[in-house]
Amino acid sequence: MITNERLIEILMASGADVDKSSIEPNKTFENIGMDSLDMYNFFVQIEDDLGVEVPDDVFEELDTLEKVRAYLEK
Amino acid sequence: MAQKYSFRPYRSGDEAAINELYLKVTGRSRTKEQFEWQWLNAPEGPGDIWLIEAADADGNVELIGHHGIMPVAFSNGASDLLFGKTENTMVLPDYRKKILYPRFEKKFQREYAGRYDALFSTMGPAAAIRQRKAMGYDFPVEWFSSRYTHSFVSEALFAWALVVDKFKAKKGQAIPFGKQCATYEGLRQNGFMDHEEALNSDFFDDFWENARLNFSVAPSRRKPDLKWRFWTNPYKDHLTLIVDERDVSGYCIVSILPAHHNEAFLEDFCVSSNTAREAELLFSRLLQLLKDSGIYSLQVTRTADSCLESYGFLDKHKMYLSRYMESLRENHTRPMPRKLTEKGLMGSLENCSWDITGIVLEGRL
Repeated sequence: MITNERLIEILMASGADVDKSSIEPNKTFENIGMDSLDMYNFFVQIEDDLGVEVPDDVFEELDTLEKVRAYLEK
Repeated sequence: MAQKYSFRPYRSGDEAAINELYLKVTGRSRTKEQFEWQWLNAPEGPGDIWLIEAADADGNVELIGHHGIMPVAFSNGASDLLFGKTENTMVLPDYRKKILYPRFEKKFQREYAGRYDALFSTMGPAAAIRQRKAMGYDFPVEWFSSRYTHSFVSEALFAWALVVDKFKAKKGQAIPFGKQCATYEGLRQNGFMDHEEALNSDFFDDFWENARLNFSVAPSRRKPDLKWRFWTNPYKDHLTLIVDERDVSGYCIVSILPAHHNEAFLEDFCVSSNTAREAELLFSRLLQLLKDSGIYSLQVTRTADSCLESYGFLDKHKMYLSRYMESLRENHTRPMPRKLTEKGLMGSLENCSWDITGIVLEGRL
């Protein structure tokens, strides 16, 4: 089972230039200051750490940490 | 309903859709002729063009992204190399938050990297530089531009011409630059060749075959390469000066922008010996002939590792205006992204000491 805390660790490890304290599960990535390159690095880190692939056609929907967690749970 | 995204290489007939995407993303229109020159007609063969498409549930397909690599012949002494210039990386604004573009480029790169010894870009905005970084490019050197002049009098004349041009433009009297304008005629009278004369000159038939041995990593100056880069370039007119004398053998290629009658841009510069002495002779001759033609400023864009820089004489000719502007601007340089491929690394290629002048190959104004 993947938790939001684990995803935050992965996000920070991906090198995104964001303030950890601003990350909330239901806040959009855009609102915490991430751009598409940060997102790319985040998903690459997820793939490396968790061994899963997130296809591009679901990427648009995954705009919060909670949605990413729910998707990975599936 | 979510769209499906896919990618594929260019197919003949895609050019109209690519040019439409180019217009939407850059705001600049591009003709079929300009597309073909840039992407299909290079002497090293067509470029690597990859397209990203979005398909909706009804099967309607839209071109939403493009990434291309232009093949450019380089050499390192006697070795032939093929470099790829990253160009026209673009995604429709509506899709920038819907797809992970870098993931696509990674896939494209896997497809084309085997063809090239190295990949490079010229200058780009901060976002483009970040993108290159994510794709594994290094930034070992910086691009910078400076203005050079024949003498202090020339510099004063250039400053005066700027004021007059500004005044005329304000009054709607700007003189259009064209083949009939005095500057162009002056250049022609002073020995600068138009593209047809340069193409017909036998100077270039074996110039590079002899000169290349004196250069390390440098763009090829074989006749077909110069023809493509400059003489058939549909974006602007290039004028070529050949000096082939006992003391110096080389050439320079310049262009003049319509808005800057009194300023030329150095597009290429090469002396066969690759020595500072010959290079300075040619450079001084160039400044003299430009001045005699009514052009008082030469703008040069180069990197910190180019031979022009390493010759060491450029500062002597630098305009006071340029020195002053550079002292005012903290960030007057821009990084040049470079990436050695596995092929390049196997050939012991270095990421520095490329003998290049400004290779802004797209050539647009």
